[in-house]
Amino acid sequence: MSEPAVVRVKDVWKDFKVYREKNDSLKETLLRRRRATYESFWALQGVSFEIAKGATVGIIGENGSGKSSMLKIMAKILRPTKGSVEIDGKISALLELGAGFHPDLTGRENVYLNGSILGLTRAQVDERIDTIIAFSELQDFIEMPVKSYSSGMYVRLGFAVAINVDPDVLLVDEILAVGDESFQRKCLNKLYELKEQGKTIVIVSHALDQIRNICDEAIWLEHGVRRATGRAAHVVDSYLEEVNRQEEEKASEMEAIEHGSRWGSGEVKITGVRLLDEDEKVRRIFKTGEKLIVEMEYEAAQEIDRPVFGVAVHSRDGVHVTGTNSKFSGTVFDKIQGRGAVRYVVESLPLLKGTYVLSAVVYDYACLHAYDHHDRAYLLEVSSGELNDYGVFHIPATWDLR
Amino acid sequence: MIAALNVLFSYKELLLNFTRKELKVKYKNSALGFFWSLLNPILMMLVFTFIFTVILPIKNLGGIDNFALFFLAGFLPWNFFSATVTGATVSIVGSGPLIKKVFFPRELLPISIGLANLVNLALELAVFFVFVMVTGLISDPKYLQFYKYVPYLLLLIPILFVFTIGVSLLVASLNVYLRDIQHLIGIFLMVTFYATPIIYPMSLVPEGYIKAYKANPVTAMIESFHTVLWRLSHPSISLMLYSAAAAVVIFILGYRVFLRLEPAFAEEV
Repeated sequence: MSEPAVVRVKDVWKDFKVYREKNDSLKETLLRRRRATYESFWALQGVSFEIAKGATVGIIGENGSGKSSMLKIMAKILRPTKGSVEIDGKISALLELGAGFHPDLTGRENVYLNGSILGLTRAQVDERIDTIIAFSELQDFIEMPVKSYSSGMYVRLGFAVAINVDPDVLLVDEILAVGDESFQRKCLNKLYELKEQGKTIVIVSHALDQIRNICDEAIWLEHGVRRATGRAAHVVDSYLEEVNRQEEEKASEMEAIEHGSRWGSGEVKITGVRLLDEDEKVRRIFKTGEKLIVEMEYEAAQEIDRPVFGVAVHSRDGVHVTGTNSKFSGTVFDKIQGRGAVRYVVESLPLLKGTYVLSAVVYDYACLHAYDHHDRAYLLEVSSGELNDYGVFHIPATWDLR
Repeated sequence: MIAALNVLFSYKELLLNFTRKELKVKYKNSALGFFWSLLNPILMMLVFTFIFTVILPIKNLGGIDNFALFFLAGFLPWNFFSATVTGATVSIVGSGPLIKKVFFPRELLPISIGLANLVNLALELAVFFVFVMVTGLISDPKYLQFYKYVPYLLLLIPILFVFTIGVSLLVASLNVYLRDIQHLIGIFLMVTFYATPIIYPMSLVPEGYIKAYKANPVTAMIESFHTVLWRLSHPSISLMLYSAAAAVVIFILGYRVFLRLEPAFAEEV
């Protein structure tokens, strides 16, 4: 990090006026004889940091943490209430793609207009127009007014212009979440390319995986205050831990999802389902590879012979990830009566990052008659932890070069 | 403000592009396209000539021999002023997405509207000159001499432009905070229109009101246009100086207010 700082943010404060009743009209101003009553909301409270030339930095934080305001201040769209931001070199801000497009103008005309909004001269656009059109993949539509474009086409053209502005400092807000899969990949590649050319890039995003992968460093803002700075992977991890901790506080007891359905004859009832970790503490979010215990509490009004308890896991988009029961596993519970609990123990959770829904069921030994069936009624959040795998499943495996 | 003007100059390319957009968008999707810019003044002149010679033949009203000509000589610059101020009033609040997401000097928006209207004024004046020629050929040969005074327009139009932009910057920025402005401005323009000798000559204004009339800088400008385009004479130096001074004062005032209010535009639009 011997490179000089090109972005210097010094003690930046920003307040927004939150109007209780905003006087937008003259009548109200005159009647109330003052402008309006409002409360100040401090979006940023004394944030300072520096970014070295050529660094790629992510700004993370929950909604309302001030990260977008920070970016807008860096882009000179908002002015800080106090403090200063200095940026050396040409800035290009990708806050919204195609923000300056006019629906009645053609794609080509809009490239010129948008290019000059982003600071290009006509000659520079002339030079780049072929690259821009090729990047957007809109060759066949470029002479059509953009109002006839689909939203995907619109965004593609916007990105193509913005990314070809060739700034020294690029500010990016949450825009990698646009377009289809292949275009997203193309945009990411372009970002990597700019990074390799030594451009300074600042990204605000909720896509923590992207931050972890692209950024060298990350800044974590919390309620307008800088909470942590450092190596991206490290900051993202501590941010995730904090988020998980807070979520667990909120939901220490698992709640049934309202739309999960339930049926069964009721001789045995599942009265509660809890997810426990290796310390037998109730949790809601688990990392891939951790121990998971699904504990089902039951109440049998009468003696039940050889009940079969089962668990099913569905992904949020409906894929039946797994379904199993005590009988499949070769476990037979002889008889149950009264209250008790059954545990389904997973030594190492193979699920990858995502939200899953669990079903908890109890059937007769033939698995034909449902005593109690809670269908897709319990949430399980999985965070990837150290793993970067894609998909729903982690298959433990090794690589070997021969 | 000087610094702001410097920045503005470095954005001249964007200013021209905004202006081009204004002009293009106006006639987009119309079959005749840009031709409307010519057709509008032509039709307007035909209608006024018809009305003031056939329906309402005004003869010798305060010494006006050709009323249509008199009217248009004042109405064209007025039209520029009025159209620009009306368009500029909503230019900031109407560009919310752009202002919230992209940085550029915000004054480009109202100024580009002024420039687009300037192009229209030039076209209207061109049609007007043809109209004067025809009038000269068929009724009064003195109008064939009008070209002698046309160069004065190179002074009058810039003064009118600076004045108009000053008013535009003022109302565009105030309207961000007080949306009544966009409704008030229509009334303000209507009152100013009738309080300025456009549809009647200055000579008909009663003695008691003359002072108030002379204080109105719009009157000074319109009177100069009348002198050059209709009276076919040299405009009065004092009127020109007065309107130039008013233009500079209004421009500085408007721009100052604009720059003062500009920082919070992105939060208020």
